[in-house]
Amino acid sequence: MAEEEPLTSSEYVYDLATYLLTSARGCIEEPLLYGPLRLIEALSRLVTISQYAPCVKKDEFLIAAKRKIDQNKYVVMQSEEEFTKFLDSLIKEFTVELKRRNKLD
Amino acid sequence: MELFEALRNRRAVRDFTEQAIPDDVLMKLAYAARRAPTGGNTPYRRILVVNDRKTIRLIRQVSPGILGQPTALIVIFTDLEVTRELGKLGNLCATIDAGAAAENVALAATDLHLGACFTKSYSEAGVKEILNIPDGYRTEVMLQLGYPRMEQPKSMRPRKGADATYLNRFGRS
Repeated sequence: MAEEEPLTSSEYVYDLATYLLTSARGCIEEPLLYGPLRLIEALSRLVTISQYAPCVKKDEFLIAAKRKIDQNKYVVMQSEEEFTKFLDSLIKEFTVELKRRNKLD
Repeated sequence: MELFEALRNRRAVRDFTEQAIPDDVLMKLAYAARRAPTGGNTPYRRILVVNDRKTIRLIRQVSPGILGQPTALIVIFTDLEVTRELGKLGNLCATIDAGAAAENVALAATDLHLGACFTKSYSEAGVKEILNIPDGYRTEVMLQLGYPRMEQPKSMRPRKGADATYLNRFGRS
């Protein structure tokens, strides 16, 4: 199979836009928990922006977060409690990192 | 593979390798879909196989439920005009029968060492536009297909109450 051509920055933005738009429409009828799933998936896709927009620096923390999201997102279909725990643990990591980036103890 | 082995091994597979599915294998999957029944033998079911990479990419963009990179899709849809032959039941039967066809595809995929996943989280308007499906047809379900990556999510634990099975009377086993 031929290699797929990499997306241009415009294609990347358009793809993300259509993902967000169709997710918004889907959330009207889909299970409540799919809303958080769509948002966390959007975060995962957003992290790849540095591949398409050279002005955005690669962020190792976000890349690691993307890996965790991609490994854990399917938990939503098994257990709301475990999915919530995963989101909370990710939020804690983001907050610790936020403090570090802002030089707060 | 024996039928019961396929039943046991079937998983919702969402992560796929880039390996394309050969055309003859895709046609076997379409055959499996066609082997499912329709209510009153009414010919309302339609099957659309998608293996064009660019088309799949566009469909993925309007399908939030496609989280991986399938190399093929099968869309099962209904000619709403034809469902009228079955009266008011036709509409419901078409959806039930699409589910039967989709499960046939999933089991055949398991037998052929492919991965499959039912998908309903897609934009009906978007998918119909991309695939040129006219008004008067309703998509029922889409199957994501491809060769599974080695590391698959574990089998889902059944949720409490799932598939409670009774004998002779409700609540008895």
